[in-house]
Amino acid sequence: MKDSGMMKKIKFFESMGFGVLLLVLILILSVIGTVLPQGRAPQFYSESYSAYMAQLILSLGLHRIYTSVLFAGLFTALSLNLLLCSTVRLGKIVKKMRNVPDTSALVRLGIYPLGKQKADLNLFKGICRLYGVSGIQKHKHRNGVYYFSKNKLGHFGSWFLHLGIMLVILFYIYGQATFFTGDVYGVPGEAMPLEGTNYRTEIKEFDVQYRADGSVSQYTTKLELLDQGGRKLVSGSLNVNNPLRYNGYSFYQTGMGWAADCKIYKGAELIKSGILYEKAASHVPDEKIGIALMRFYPDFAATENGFVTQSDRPNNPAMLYAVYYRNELVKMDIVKPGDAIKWNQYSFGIDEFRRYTYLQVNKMQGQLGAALGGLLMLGGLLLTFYFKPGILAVMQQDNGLVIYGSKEIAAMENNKVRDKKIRLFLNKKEEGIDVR
Amino acid sequence: MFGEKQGFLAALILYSLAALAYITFYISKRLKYSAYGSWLVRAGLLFHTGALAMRTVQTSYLPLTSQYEFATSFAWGISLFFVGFELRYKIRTLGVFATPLILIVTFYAALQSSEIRPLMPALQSKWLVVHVSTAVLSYGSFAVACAVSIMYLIRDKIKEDDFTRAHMPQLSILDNISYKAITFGFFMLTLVIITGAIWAERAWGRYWQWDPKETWSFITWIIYALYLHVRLNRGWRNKKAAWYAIIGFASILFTYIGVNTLLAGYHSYGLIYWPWL
Repeated sequence: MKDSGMMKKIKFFESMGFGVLLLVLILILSVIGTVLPQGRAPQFYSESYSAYMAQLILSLGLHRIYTSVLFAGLFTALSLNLLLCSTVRLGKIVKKMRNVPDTSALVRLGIYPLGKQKADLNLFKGICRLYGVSGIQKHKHRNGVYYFSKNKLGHFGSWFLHLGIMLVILFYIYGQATFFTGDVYGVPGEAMPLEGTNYRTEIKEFDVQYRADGSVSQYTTKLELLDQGGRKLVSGSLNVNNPLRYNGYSFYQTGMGWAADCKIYKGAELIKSGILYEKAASHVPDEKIGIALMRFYPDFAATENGFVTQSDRPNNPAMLYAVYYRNELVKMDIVKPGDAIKWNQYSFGIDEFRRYTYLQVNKMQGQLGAALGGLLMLGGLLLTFYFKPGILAVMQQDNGLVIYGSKEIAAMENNKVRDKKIRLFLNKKEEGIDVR
Repeated sequence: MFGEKQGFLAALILYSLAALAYITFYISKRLKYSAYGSWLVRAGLLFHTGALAMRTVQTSYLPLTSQYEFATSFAWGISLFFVGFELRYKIRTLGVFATPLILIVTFYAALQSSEIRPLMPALQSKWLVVHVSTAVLSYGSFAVACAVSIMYLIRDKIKEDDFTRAHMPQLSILDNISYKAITFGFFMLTLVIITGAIWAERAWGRYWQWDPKETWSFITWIIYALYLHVRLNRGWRNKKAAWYAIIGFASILFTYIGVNTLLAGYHSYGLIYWPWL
């Protein structure tokens, strides 16, 4: 009884009905994910929806649907369904592939008078060619019936497809679970560690290439990757669509901005020096003083609509800065780079604007497995739709040549035209004309 | 001088006239109008191909990078598949249902800005050509499946007479044509998703990010995967399959137009939500 209960469960988990149900649920959740704002703070949902809806969204994890337990559970169940289904079906497919059916299990395609000629293997092969069953395919002979088969691998079409989907899902989940992401940025000459690894990076060059019309054609960074001891591991150029790769880590050109040298003085004493990035601040915690580079205008213009930059070339540079003291804004203005900025006993020097590069660093494992899954899916689809297996059985009887075919052969197009061709072929054979 | 714009306009006019000719054929039941429709679509396709070729020469890249370019290529794809299917199956009434789809997408293209913009760095990839051109073929094939399915439902509804017997194929043939178009479209859609994933990995660092466009391609893929499952294993054919093919194409249109327009503000404005819920 227990076994039968277990069998019932396995049968349910491997059934197509269960697979279809899972696909429908995944589809519904995917649609919800595109219309429901994702990744917002819980407060957003409480304020935007009714109390009941907000509770439902948050408790089911619909606000982070694609990383929710529910979504992952459905994909895991789908993988299980595909695994069981593939395992159970494998034996059946192999059996079907090897099986030589009795003619009673095939569709009779036609009877053709043979006249005085005697049917032989060559004549059968000639008939097979007219059905697209090539002569190089293996044939079997049983009880006077010659069996020819085509596209035997086609039996595995949907099996490969399912296996491919399963691999894509499993390797995607593995990739997500072990995903590493980080970033490095800086102006040429700057070095920084890649957090979470034992590597250090050094930006050697950053270049923006322009076309004649002024539009950007490419952003290119020259990067060097070093180990903790400063030994060079790899160096090279990377740009958009062309990452630099090392040991599973990929460096992507994802952004850029402006940065400048920044010096902070207290009276005549230099108390801080470094690089100041746009939309960032430089602080001296002991003094509770800081300066933020709010915006850099490479080609500054004051218009009716406010301050704008007319291009991204440094034709008329200007910057908007803000000075903070004890976390309070104390001064804000627009000045030219290098202009003196003073507040009380403090002075600030911001100069030498240049572009900095921003690189995203990812390491996603299992990509090869997912790619293999994708290939299997494509191969499976090709086999399923365009390499359908078929069996042709040909035999000589008293009333002539009888041809049987599997349902795939019977469903082939142009069977009427083929019928005429077979008659013509047999007539020519009888007349002794060499037909190949 | 005859350029890309004139070529596109000529194609638009020829497609409109073709649709008119096919509809006249269907109403008047006079065969000559279907022949006119057929030749007009072919002429339209010729001008359309010329327009796309001229744009390619002008920009030095395939016209697959903007809303206008994809729309005009999509319309070209439907037109190409329609002409192919019409020649292959010799169904005179197919144009009555396919040319309006060609027209809708061509008009949509006409409403978009056709301004030629320099290719931004993110689009400078050989994967763009593979990814988007397979999308054109996939969508074009699904559009033909949709047109044939509409034809199926109408053929099923109307009384059979000499005209339908002569010019509208048997329901089983229509069902089979729609299935074949869907199988090709599905294979291409799988290729679209896989090539898109490869490109996304090279450009963004992740091959799948559940971006609305990706997600809707995936949703469409599931819809057609379900169609193939229930058709091959549960014998869902004929009327049910025809309705399903139409729903599938609605999903294609949403993936293409709906996501770009309705969910366009997803990243910057925090997407659409329904506060009344």
